[in-house]
Amino acid sequence: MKRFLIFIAAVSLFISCKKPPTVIADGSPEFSGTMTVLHEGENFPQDGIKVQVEFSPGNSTIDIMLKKVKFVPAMPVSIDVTILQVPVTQESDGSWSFAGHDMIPWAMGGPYDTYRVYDLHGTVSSSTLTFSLGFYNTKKQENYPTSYSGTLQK
Amino acid sequence: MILATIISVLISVPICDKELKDTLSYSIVETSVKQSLSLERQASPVSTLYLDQLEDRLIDSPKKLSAVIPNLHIPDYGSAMTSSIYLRGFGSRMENPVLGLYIDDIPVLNKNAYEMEMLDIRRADMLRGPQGTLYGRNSMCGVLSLSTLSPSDYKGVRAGLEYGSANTFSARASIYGKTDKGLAIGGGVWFRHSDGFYTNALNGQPCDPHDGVSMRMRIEKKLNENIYLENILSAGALTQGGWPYRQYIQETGQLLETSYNDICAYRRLNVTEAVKLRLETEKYTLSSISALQILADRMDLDQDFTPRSMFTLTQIQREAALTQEFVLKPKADWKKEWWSWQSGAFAFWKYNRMSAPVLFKQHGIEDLILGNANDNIPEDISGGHEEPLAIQENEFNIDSEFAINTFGAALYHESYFTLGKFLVTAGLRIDYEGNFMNYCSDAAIHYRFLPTMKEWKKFRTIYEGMVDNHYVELLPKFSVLYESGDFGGYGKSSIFATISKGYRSGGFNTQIFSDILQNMMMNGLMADLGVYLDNSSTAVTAEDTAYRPEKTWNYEIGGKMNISKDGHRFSGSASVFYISCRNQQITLFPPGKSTGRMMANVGKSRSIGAEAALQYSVKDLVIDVSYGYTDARFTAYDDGNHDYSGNRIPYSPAHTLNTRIGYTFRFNNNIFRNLSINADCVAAGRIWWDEANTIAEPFVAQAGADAVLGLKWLDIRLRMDNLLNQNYNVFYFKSVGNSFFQRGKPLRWTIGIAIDI
Repeated sequence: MKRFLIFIAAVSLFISCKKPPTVIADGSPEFSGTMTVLHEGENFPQDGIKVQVEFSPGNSTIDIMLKKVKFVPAMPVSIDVTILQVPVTQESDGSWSFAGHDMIPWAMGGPYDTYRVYDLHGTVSSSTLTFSLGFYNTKKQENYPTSYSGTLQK
Repeated sequence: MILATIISVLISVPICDKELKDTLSYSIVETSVKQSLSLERQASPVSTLYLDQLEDRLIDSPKKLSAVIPNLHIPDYGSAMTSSIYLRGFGSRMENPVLGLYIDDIPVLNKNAYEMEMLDIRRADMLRGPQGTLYGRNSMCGVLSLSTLSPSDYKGVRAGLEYGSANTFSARASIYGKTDKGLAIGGGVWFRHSDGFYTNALNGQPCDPHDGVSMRMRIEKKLNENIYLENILSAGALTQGGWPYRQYIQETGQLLETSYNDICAYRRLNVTEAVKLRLETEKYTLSSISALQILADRMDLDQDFTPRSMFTLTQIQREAALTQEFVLKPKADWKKEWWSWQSGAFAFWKYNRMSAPVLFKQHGIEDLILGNANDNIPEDISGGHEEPLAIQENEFNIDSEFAINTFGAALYHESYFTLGKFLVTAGLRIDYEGNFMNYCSDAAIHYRFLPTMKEWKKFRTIYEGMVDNHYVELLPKFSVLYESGDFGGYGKSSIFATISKGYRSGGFNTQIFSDILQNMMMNGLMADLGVYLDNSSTAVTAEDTAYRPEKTWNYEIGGKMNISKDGHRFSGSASVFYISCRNQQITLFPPGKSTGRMMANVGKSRSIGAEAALQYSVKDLVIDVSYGYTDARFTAYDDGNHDYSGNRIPYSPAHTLNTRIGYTFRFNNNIFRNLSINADCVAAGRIWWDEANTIAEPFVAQAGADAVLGLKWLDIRLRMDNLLNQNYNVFYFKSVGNSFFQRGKPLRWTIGIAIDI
């Protein structure tokens, strides 16, 4: 009986540790939320921005795909931007934190170095995704501090 | 057997006597199975031209009836497949016509076959105003009914040779006779060649050479006391150039020479086989008209009409159609003195397999596809490239295949009540029409976004599906004709009032599919790149390409008179009309540098007008005058971008005028029979060229003259058209942001001989 209870307790502990990250990391969860870009001293919020997260096979990195985003309000197009192979670390509560610096995102079928990614920090859990980063326009030498907060789409 | 029959006919052909000859200048034979009333007793205006009149004036195609018949305008532009017909203010450049064309009671279902050689047309009756009750679809503004020479009514040999301007040569021959066994057989062949009247300045070659041949064979036999059989086989083949459009630079008013670098050509083969049966009993006459119509054609078009390699269209159609009509009319036993009638049933089925690939060439890809896309890509995205998006192919096709089934059925009845001097006509027709179109458009390219992509990537767009379109139309007619006088027995006069409804069929815009696919391809390609334009063009879908029938109500009052006394003969008719039109079909060009055009029901309109036709003759002097006036305007026009309410409907002239005066000198000797000299003038205008009414063609008159010297066995003819060599335009349009005109044909002369024995 004692051995049985220890076994149950061990399984429960195992499940409680592994369940949240497994749910997130198994698929390619998509979040919807608000992205805010700071431009010329003013915040430019965009609602309904969808961001998809895809874990690498060993859960060591994630790809973050930002869909139909604009960097400035005057931009006549919106684009899909993917930040590739961002290192992730699992936290004790089951969420994953990620960070990266000076990365070249992927857009329009290839590496897109017009806007480099700086100071990327964020967390993805089974229900939310939050991150902040700076898009740095290498031609204009301007920085666009950006933050995102979204919830998981069922 | 056939040879023996033809030889038998040849042997039996007599030198025709005077009574038979008169068939050519006047006809006592009924015009059409459907005409229960003589044309004089019809409560609508009718213009009639007989064979002699048609041939003297060289009216050898329906286009040449333009303006000769009041308010009829059939501009001669493009090619033989361009039969745009405008009547009483209505009409359109494409798709279904407002005028029904019937040849020996057989409806010509495809407008591409409207342009033809009028070989041995015994008479042409133009019934003006909606004829929907008897003729149904596409007779919204009138019906042109052509009757060919019948071997039962005419026996003889006819032949003609003509030569004229632009090295135009034509030869025709026909023979009509009857065998001893009562088989009447007749037929003819017509060949025509022309070098063309327009030159392509880019290569110095003629734009519009023409070679065509057409034939008809008509066999008639009385099978027994009650049944009469006719078989009419006609066929035509032609190959020609055309579309001699000249670019117009609006800013400077400069009209450039015709200059395009790709082929513009049209080829057509059409065959019609018809069987007509008439059953006559003591109580009724039942007529059956069955026809099979086959049309195969191919149009190659440099669609930008410029020396640049932008885009071309090749449209190939393979069409087969079946029509069947029954007409029942009472005879003595069933007919009352005060009441007569006719009833009918009509059905048709048409299948059209169409291929319409648009080939985008280098400049077209750069300007129309990449230009539009790259202009919208901001510098941040383009990475400093002026043209960041590139397509690997120098040219590529947007293939479009269509299978269109159109079918319809109708029942109709007209009653004629004679109440003293009043003749009241009341009729109703119910028409059902259905259309199904299967479509498949397909294009594949390889693209690169130069700032980010190292390799070309294949991108394919396919758009396929099926759309349908169905409608039922009720087409009533009510008219009253009052026989107002007989001029002491020397003539007749009548006044009439008519209310009638007509409609023009709906259909599908096949020509817009390359635009749809072009839009889909660019939006899809940009989405494949992950770029989404804020102002991406509004998507037209296949469902949007179906358009509904256009409907008109016509209200008309008028009068006719005919007086003949002491050698003086006067006949005339005049009427005024008001037509209201709903669901008007308007040709639209999608905004910007689009390549297609489409028909849409975007308007309502009304047309107010008047028509008059007078003929006076005394002895050998004949004077003809006809005039038409139309004030046709949009009462509501909303295409989503513009409001043109109150503007004139474009392409249809406000005035048409036709005058002709002729005198015949008669000789009493064995060599010369007579000399007929005629002068005429046809005029049309003002014509607005666009819905916005920003550009117009003034009223233009063209003088013509002809002379016919009648010898014992043959006639020698000379005809001059556009005697004063007037410069005028017959067409204007816009394509990919450019404006174009086509000039009318210059001074032309034709000399020929005709044999009629």
